[in-house]
Order: sequence, then C-alpha cells, then structure tokens
Amino acid sequence: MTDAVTELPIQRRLLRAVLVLLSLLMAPHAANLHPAILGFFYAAVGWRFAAMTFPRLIPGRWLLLTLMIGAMALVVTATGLVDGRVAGTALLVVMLGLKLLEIRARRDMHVTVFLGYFLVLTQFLYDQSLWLALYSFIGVVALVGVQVGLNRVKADLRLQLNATLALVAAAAPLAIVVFLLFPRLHTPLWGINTEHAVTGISDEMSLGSIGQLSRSNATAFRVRFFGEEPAQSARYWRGPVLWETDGSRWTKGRHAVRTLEPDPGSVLPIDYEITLEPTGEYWLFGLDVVTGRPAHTYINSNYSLVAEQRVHRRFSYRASSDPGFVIDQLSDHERLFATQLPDRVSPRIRELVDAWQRQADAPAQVIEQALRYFREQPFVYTLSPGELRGDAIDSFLFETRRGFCEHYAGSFALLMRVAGLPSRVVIGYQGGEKNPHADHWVVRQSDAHAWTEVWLEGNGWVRIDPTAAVAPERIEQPIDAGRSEDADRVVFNTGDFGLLGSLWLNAVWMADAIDIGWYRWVVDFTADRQNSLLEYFGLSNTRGYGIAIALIVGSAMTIALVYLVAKVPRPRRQDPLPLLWRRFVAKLQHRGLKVEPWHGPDTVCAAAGASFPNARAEIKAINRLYVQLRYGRRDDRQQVGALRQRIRRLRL
Amino acid sequence: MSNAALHPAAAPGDPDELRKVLTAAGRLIVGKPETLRLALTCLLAGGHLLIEDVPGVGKTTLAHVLARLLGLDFQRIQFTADLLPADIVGVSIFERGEGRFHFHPGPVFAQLVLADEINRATPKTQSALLEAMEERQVTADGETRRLPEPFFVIATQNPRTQIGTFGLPESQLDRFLMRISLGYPDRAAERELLAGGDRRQMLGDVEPLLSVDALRAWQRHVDRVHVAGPLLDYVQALLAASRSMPGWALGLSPRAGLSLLRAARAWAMIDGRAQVVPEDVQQVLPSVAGHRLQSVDGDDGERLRGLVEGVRIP
Repeated sequence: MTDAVTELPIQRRLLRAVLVLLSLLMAPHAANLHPAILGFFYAAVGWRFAAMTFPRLIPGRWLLLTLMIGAMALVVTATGLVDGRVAGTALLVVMLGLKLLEIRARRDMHVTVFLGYFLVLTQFLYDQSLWLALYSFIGVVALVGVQVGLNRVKADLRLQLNATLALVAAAAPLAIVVFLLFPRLHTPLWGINTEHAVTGISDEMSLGSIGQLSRSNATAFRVRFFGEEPAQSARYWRGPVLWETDGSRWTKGRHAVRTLEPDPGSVLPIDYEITLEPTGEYWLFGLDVVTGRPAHTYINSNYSLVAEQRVHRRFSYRASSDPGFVIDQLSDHERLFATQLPDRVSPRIRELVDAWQRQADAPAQVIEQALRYFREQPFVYTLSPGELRGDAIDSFLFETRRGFCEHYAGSFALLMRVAGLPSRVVIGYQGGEKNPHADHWVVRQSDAHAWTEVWLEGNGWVRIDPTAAVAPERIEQPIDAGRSEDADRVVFNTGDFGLLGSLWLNAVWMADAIDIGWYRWVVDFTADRQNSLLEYFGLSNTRGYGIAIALIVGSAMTIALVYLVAKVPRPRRQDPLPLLWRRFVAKLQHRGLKVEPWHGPDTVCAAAGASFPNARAEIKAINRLYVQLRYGRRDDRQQVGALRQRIRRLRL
Repeated sequence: MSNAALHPAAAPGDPDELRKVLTAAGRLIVGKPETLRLALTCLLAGGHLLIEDVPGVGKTTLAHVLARLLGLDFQRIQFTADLLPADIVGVSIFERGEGRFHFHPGPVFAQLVLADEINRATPKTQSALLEAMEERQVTADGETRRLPEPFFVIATQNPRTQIGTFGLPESQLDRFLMRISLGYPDRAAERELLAGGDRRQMLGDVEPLLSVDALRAWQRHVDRVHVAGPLLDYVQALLAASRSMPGWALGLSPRAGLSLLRAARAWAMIDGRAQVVPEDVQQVLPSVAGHRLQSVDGDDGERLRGLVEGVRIP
C-alpha cells in the first residue's frame, strides 16, 4: 500500500513521543521480566534517541540481523523458555526494541504504535489491578494521539487532542459491549503459573509464626455477607487444623483426611462470599463451621474448606456456615492422633495438670481450671514474647508468661492432651473490619489467629480460645499491628486516630472499595457472570454461536448508535455573555427597573441610567463593553472577565 | 453611543457630517427628526423611499432639501393619468441635420428623482420607473443607458382611498427599501411652520453639506458596519415571528430580511457605530417591513409593535 502520508518522513516530535511513551508503558514489566530483557529494550530506546541527533548511528541491515540473533539468545537464556507467557512477552519486548532501531518512515511508526498496544496487553497477563488498568488506559489514549498525529501533515496539538478524545469517546461504548459479550474462557488467561511469594498462614504453627504474620496489614480476604452479619466475637475464620505436636511446633500430622458432605441442618445458615487473595495453597477459609460449600471445593473431615487447585489468583467463592453446628465425629484413629504427646513433657506441666484433675469431676471442669490459670496468672498478650529457652512450653507457662495466640493455643492444647482430653489446634483468622465505603469486611493478615478445639464426650469438638482468657479484647477489636510491634503488649485498634489518621484511613478504605469493585465488576466477570447477565436480558442458556451472534448484533447496534450520536448537531459552545447580561438585568430588576425581553441593551441601559443616576457612568461602561463584545467585531475573551467584574461590582 | 466605536481610519469621515445634514434638514422640515433620519438612512443604504401621505405635509420639500444638502442634481416628475413611459425614460428624436436618431434623456436621468403622486399614473408608466429603480439603467430603442450614481428615487403616493389612483401592487412595493409617512405636524411644529418664512425661499438658501463623492463613500461604508451572530439570530427570530403571527397574509421574505439588515447598518452608521445593535433593527423595522406585510385589516402600526414586543432579544 503506498499512501502519501505513510511514506512521509518521520516527525521528530512524534518519534520522541513514541520513545518516551513506550519507555513508560514498559515500566510495569519490571516486576515480571528479567532485568536483562528490560535492559535490552531501554538500551535500544537510548540508542534511538542518540540516533535522532546523529543519524549515522542507525544500524544497517547486517548489524540489525546480528542484534536480532543476540536478542533471541538473550530471551532463551533469560527466560529459560519455561513459562510460555514470560518467554512470549520477552520476545515481544526485545523485538519492539529492535523495531525502534529500524524506524525510517512513518509506516514504521505505525507498526511501532501497534506493537505498543500489544505491549499494554501483555501486562494484563501478570496483573489485573485497577491501577495498572488506569495507567495503561492513559498510555493507550496517548498512543491513539500519536496515531492521530501520524495521519496529519501539519502539527496542531489542539486539533490532535480533540480528534484523539473524539476517537476514544466513540470507541468506549463499543469497548463496553465487547467486554460484556465477548465469549469467555472458564479459566481466564491470566493466573496460570503465577507463583508470587505471598504472606499468609501456612499449614503448620511454630511459636512466633502467627505473631510474625500479625505484623502485616495486608489483606487476607474480603467477605460480603448476604443477610445477617455475625458479631465480631463469632467471626472465627476456620483454616487448617493441626493435630501433631513436638511440644512447640504443630503440624497437620500424617493421618488421612476424608472428605465429607455436612448436613446443613434446619438452621438458617449465614450466607457470604469470600474474595481470597492469592495464597498459593489449597485451603480456603470459611466461617466456623462451613456447611455449604461452593463448586470446585470440598470440605474435609476437619471441616476445613479446601480448593481443588492451588489459589494462585484472587478467587471468589460463595459459602454458607452454621455457627451452631456441632462436629460430633471422632474416629478411634483420630482419637489416637488427638491425644498424641511430644516425646518429653516436663514434670511441672504434669504436676499442674494433675492438680487440676484432682479438683475436677468432669473434663469440662479441667478446661475451666486451665482457662482460670491463664486468666489469673500474670500472662501478657504480646507480639514480642522474648526468647524461650529449653522446654519452650514449660518456660512459657511458668517463667516468661509472654506470648501471642499460638503460644496460648499450642500450650492449651498440650495441657488438654496431658489431661487426656483429645484436642487440636485450628488456625485461621478472627474478626475483620468493615469497609465504611462498601458492603464488605476486610480480614487482614494481622487478624491471623490460632485457637483450640477440645473433644468433650456428648458435646463434640468444642472451640476454646485461650487467648480470650488472657486478652478478651482480642476477639472484640482488631490489632493495631504497627503500634503493637514496639509495645510491650498488643495494642488494639480503638478507633482513635486523630484527624490526619482518620483521613488517611478513609483514603485507604476508599482504595480498598475501589479495588474490590474493580475486581468484582471487571476482572471477575467470568463466563458464569456473563451468562447471568445474558439471562437478565432474556437470553438464557446462550453459549457458543449464541454469544457470538449477540456480540455481533450488539456491536453493530452500538456502532450505529455512536454514528447517529456523532451526526447530531451539537449546540454551539455556551457563550458566557447572555448569562452575564441576564445577571445584570436581574440586578436592575431587583431594584425595581422594568425590563422587557424585547428591550435591547441600549434601551435597558438608558432606562437604568435614568433610574439610577449615581451609577450612570458605570452602567454606561457596562453598556459599551457588552455591546462591543456581543455585537462588535472583536472577540476579546479577556474583556469578558472585565465585564463580569464590572457587573459583579455594580452597586445601584 | 460613543463615536470611538467607529474606527477613524475605516470611516470615510466624521459621522458628525451626517448628523449635521439632519440638523440642517430639520430647520425646514420641522418636528420630524425621526422621519428625516429614516429618509437619510434609506439613501445611505442605497434604497429607494416611498412616502405615503396626504398632500401638503412637506413630501416635496423633504426631497428638495435632501437633494440640496447632499449636492445631488434633482428632477421632479409629476405623475398624471396620461403620463407615458417615454416621458420618464426619454425619447429618441430624428435629427434631420445629422441624419440619425438622437436620444433625449428623460427626467429619470438625475441623481435624486422625486416621483410625485406615483399612484396617479397607469401601471405601465409606473413600472417603467420601477424597472429603472431596480436595474439602475434604462433601455430605450435597444440601447442600454446607465443611470447616474448615486441614484435615489423618492416616490410619493396618496393613500389609496383617494379617488382616481392606481395603487402600487405588492410586488412593486418591494422595490422600495422603506415606506414612511410624514403625517401632520404637531401644534408647536405647525406654529413654527406658519410663523416661519417661505419654504421655497429657504430652500434656495440651503448650501450642500456633503459632496457626492463623500456620499458614495458613506454608502460603501454601510457594508462595513458589523453584524454579529446574535444580531442575525435576532433578525431571523423577527422574520420567523412575522410568518407565524396572525393578522398578516404573508410574512417577511428573506429579501425583506436583507433589507432590514442593510437599513439597520445605515442607521447604526449615522450614530457613528461600528456594529449593529438590536435597537437599530427595531428603529428601522416599521418603515422597512410595513409595506411588505400584507395586512388583513390595515392596522399595521399596532401589529408591527406587537411583532417587536413578541420577540425576545437573544
């Protein structure tokens, strides 16, 4: 295709714009690609910049070929070709760099801009956040602006801007329709093989592990309740259950875990939707005790919710729970595990438990004694428990008495086992804060918690939270992770932040609401949601060809609509003068002057001058200015301001 | 309005010249400054003027005064029932000495022609004048002759109710930019008129205040008076209103709109302004539109006021 415009020489300012733009659009890839790949690209950008001043620097064909072979080798070595997505992106990036070096005509600029669009696209394979979307959107608009400039012979920034915005505005409705109707894969393209280092609870608990997690303010998951919201003290988010201990460390143990299908019972369950941040693990969290599981998950015999695949991307699921549900099964095999003791239990612990057992008639009273021990002895709930020497649990219980929830849950379970009561540790989260700007609750890593379950004959597994005995506030208020770190004790969030603090907090909540809204309405717009949208429009069970036809018809209708709207003559730009004149006339009328709609400015001002002799000079000036601006030849915008001021200052 | 609004370099002279003409004319035509100004406006706009009035209110004097003040050569044609087209245009007479026809120009070959009582002549004769007015040239014996520049016709007409007249048809009326009427003078003016000297005597004493070249320069300058978008909006609104208002058989034509703008420009120029304001349009509207609107019952004045008052100034 030989087109007069595409064969024109490149415009330096557009080339400069493209180089800067691509450099900016490349920046988010720093998190995804090997530094060598990005380095290659930015070196190419620098080279091209230098070549703008010294055209001799533009590489010849053979040098380009050599560079290309080198770039291929770089891609192979840097990515190892393990992850197709990364390798593909890297290839695009190095090729884009090489393309910059061979830009000679405007046609090459067009190709470069199109590669820029692809570059934007690749970023969403790694990150789907709103912030990246906004950043990329601005970049795409700028790329459109460059394209508009490429198709113009003369440079006029204002016309270019107008044309760009008009194009984007015309494309927006079509983009929305295609977003809604484009056929979707059941698994999105992104989220394959993402293995980020994530913070989160693991399936074992050692002393200090949860305390460590509690220092993080990162979001673990968000919950939206449908219907009644349980009280803070009832919001135990159940995760993995730990059976085996060596004294200080708790693990899942080696016994086989069955799957089961709990009977929801007759109680109205609490319905909720959890949007879990990626954990890289199988287990999910649910309100204690989950009775209704979502698809692609199962409930194991620990009554923990487990996903079929590791959670590598944000994952939304809807579940239901019955807080009054009784777990009343304990096989002999499980009983064995639930009473397992570490190799060595210190004599002091045995003595303590023996003393309780002597006073107690029933297992429930032993629990009571133990809780009283925690309550009455000077235990401190703290993130900095200090070093525990020797037998860790022994020195915690009798000497330091400083610990976080894993110290209390772990030692309590151990004490119960010494007393012969089957017990286990449950880890998960407790509490959560409601976002005041949205309808969801946020559960953070700082809400990570560990508690104990004790088997009582006849009552089933009973949840005992020894932390509540030491620090009852823990289950009422969220922890202030920042302030707890240096303090002697855990500091709770009381809601008193000062003005600046409140403003900042407000902004954080707002960002959280926007983030989850973006996820819910855009990123998580899955095939299921698309189907329910189509059903809403009366197109139930639309798939395959049906969606394709809906897409084509919808797009065609949108294009027709945009065309029609573009054809509608727009009203002229609002002239400020009539408004000013009306303000002036209103001022006169307010003071009792009779002004008819057919009175011209001279008539009005003559009458006003006669009625208000003191302001006659000022009225005359306004008259002259207005007539000159409205009916005169000169179009002097600055004078409009002068007229506005005179009218505002006019005192009658 | 201020004189400063008119750019000195752009204007052919001091606009006071025009106002001095009006003042001087006012000494002879007593108590009718508005009418005089309309007549001058019509002349400056390059249009022709129709004065409709009963005899004896100073129509002829007005024409005379304007001719003298502006230094125009003046011809008067008294229209009668037996007047023939050749009496106006001129006639070719065979000159025996030279052995060929020689054209003797008629009274229409003058810069200011007063066509007195135009409605007394037959339509054929009337149309000879009206064609000359429109074309600014006459064709006699197959030869076209240009009329002098400027060429300005003041026609007078008795109201149609008088016996023995041929009223001008509407299509012909359109050739006049304005129709005005002098009307009887008020008491004070009449007293002054009666007490004052002989008008013909006074006319003889009038000295030209403007050269023909200056007049033509002013006429050309009319086009340079600015008409802004909002004013066009206003004129359009007036035209539209005239077409929808009850009481008129037909509304104003686009040509009437052009005439209205041109008259308003000339009116503004006399004020020394570089732009037209809505008031200018309002001032000239009755004279420009009156004879173009076919009234159903004849009460034009009231209805024209209604037209102005019914249109909001945008």
